[in-house]
Amino acid sequence: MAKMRGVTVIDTERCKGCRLCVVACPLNVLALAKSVNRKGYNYAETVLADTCTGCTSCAVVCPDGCITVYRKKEE
Amino acid sequence: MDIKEIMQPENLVYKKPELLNDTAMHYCPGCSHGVVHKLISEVIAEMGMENKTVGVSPVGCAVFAYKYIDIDWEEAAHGRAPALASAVKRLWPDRLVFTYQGDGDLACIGTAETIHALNRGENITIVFVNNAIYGMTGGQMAPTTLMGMKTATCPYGRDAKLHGYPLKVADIAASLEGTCYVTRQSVHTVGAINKAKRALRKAFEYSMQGKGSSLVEMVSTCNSGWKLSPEKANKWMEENMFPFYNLGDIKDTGANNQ
Amino acid sequence: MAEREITLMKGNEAIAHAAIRCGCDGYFGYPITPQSEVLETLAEQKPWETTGMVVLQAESETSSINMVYGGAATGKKVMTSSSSPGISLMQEGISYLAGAELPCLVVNVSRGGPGLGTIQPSQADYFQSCKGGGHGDYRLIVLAPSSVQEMADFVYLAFELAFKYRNPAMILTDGVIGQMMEKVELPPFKARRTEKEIIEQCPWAANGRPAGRKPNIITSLELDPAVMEEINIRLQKKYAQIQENEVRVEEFMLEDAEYAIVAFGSAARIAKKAIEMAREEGIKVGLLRPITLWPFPIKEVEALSKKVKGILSLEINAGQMVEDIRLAVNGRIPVSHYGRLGGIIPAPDEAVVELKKLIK
Repeated sequence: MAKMRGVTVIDTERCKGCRLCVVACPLNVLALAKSVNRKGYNYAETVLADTCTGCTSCAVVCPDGCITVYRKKEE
Repeated sequence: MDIKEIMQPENLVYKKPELLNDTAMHYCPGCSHGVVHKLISEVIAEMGMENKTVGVSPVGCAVFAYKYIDIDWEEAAHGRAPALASAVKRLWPDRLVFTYQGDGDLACIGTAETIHALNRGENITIVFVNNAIYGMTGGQMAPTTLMGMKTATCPYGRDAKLHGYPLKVADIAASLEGTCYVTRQSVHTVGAINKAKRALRKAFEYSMQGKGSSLVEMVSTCNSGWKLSPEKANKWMEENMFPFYNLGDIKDTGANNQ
Repeated sequence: MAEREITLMKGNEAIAHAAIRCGCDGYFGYPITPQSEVLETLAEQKPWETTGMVVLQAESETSSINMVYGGAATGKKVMTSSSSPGISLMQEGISYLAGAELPCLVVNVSRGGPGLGTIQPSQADYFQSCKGGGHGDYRLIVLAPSSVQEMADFVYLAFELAFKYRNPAMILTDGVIGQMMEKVELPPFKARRTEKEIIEQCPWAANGRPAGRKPNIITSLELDPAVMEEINIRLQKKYAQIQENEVRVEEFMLEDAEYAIVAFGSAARIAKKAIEMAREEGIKVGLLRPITLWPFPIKEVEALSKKVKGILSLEINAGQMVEDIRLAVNGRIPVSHYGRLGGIIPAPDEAVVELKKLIK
């Protein structure tokens, strides 16, 4: 069966570190970074890039529209 | 597969809606308002109404909604948004006209404007963000604050003897002849957000089809006001808000009323 | 030549007919005595079937004025009317309209107060109209008709000034002029502007953002005090320009006058009769009638004070406009006030008695 591969691109400066994307991800792809952005928020980052299937859950729940998602079927 | 190979325009599956501009929103981290703003932006664009929409923003946390969604806006006095929207729609019948209001604005100071706009069957949509608290002013009791819930002005919990009871606006709205669609939605999970978006789309379409007034209540969190993390606020909402503010369509006469 | 259309009607009816004829797009109102005939006449005339004008009875004066705000913000020509207690309820909205710089017309067919007061006529809303009944540093353009003809004409003038300056305008009248029947020649019909014309003439209006234009946002909110001060300074400049350009007065028998009555609206009609009676007794007196209460005719009153020996301010209130007269006269000559309160109309002979006191 073909596997879906996804990439999440996070606007880390816009991110407020609310963690809702981390909770929404069914595969624990995302986590809050140890470092902070210019506003002082621990922004969300991708920690398990290879696991992401591009399901968009993180982006859909993001209240600030920080996440862009790409998805491609693995041949 | 290489990341660059995946990150191609043809593989794009989600991005911030175009109508939602790049201005950083003033909302607290995890606030439901941001999701509702995204849904409104998406639905307007999907209906192709970017150039024919007038939004009316309230007084409350969403007072600056006009800074984030790139449509024409009018900023109303506290509670008066449905009066503004009534006039705009009657004077420009081919425009999509909606108000965006919180519980203090809509269900307290603006009760008369809300009830009468809905009861006249104005062809507008009222988007009602209910988080059971006054967010902007620092977490005071709202007309929708649950029994026993603690806020800055009911620090020992809402007590019926002192404060009366929480108001179910959507149920009142559903009893009015002028409404064609009244629904209660939430935006805390992917499933809920997809449902809420469909509800918003239906309401906006009914407005354009002249079927009457729609009220889309978004049962929401105010994690700052509730003094919970966004994640815990969602859980608290599921456990405490949903049993009182039941989700789902309360009234939908739009489909059979031509 | 087109036949002149002369009709006998009430002042309130004249307001309604003039609204339809001047190309007004929407009227939003709530019943209150003594102005209800405005809404009643509009409902009877059904302009939505002819000119396309929207007429809507709102749930309150609060809602009426906010409907006016909603409509005005889209560039449409919209109005409301009410009487004193209702106008008090509208003050929040009027302040917002002034703050957002929206053109509109508010008609106050005023009655005696304070509180629920009486339904009889009064001019006790002068302060409220001219000194800012709502919050903040703002001004309304205030026109005071003294005949049914002027009720009709000033609807046109008020809208013209409101759009010229992007500022709310008010017609301040009272139950006398509102209820009185007089002959009136209704002004010529003006077509309502098309949507295209509105969009061209009001590029600031929020009525749907065409592709390529930035969103239009109608608001009176600005949290940055430095920017808010700039906005206020700009407003004050606009008000100074209105003060400079838009003062309107009527002069009556002032050429040889040694004394003057200053009176507006219905009081000016009483003043004219009083002047006639006084002149029969050999008192050379004339009338200066402010037509614009704001901008107040400061220069005209100042000039008058250099010409006559004393001024009587005849008002149907406890003495409101007299304060503006005294400011303009600046102590040069005696200024007295005569008025009746609570819905009582002063009689011309009472005014003559007051005039004689001033002459002593």
